[in-house]
Amino acid sequence: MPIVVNLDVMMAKRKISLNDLAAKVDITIANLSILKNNRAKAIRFSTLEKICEVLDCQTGDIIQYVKDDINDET
Amino acid sequence: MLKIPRHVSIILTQIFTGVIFILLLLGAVFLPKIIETYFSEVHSIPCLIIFYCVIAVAFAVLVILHLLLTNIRINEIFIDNNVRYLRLISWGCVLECLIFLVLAQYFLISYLLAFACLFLSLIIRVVKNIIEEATEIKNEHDFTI
Repeated sequence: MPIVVNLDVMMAKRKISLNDLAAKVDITIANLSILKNNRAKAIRFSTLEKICEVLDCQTGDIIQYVKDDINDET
Repeated sequence: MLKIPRHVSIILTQIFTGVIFILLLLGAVFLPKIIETYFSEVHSIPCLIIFYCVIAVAFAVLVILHLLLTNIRINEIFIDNNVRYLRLISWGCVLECLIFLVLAQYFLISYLLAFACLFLSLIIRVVKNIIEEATEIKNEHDFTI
């Protein structure tokens, strides 16, 4: 999938655990885990906003577009 | 019109499936006697084999129906397994259609039964497509954070 979630990187930089982040962002640990492990299909702006607020970062620090290798070859 | 509560409706359907299962079982047990009574000796063996094939496929479809109903009863409706079950039921109906076409060489009415099975498989196929799309929408929603 071209969209990569770098939440674990930001969490490590800010030294915050999954439990703490889930509590501050007000989403379940299960949902946060889905997001962290790149299994999410979509993210609400409100959730992204809260995550950026808690981690004090930009959206580009959390989500990143990575071109597929197949697209590069064509 | 009498409105039955959802959970009662599902249980009633499961009971009905069980009743059909028992009827099929009785049919399988008494089939040789029925064939012997109503068919000539020349046709009895092929007809017996064909009817047992029909019953075997019907048994398989009933088991899948029961699994599908069990999932619905525990509120697991829009899941990949249910889509798979509906696909299998549809193919079961197609198989029954083919078996009835073979039987048609002995009974012309089997053409009608074959058509009915084919039509039913088409309806189930459409329902499967709807459930598949709904499952995709649900997955999209479930994985929206």
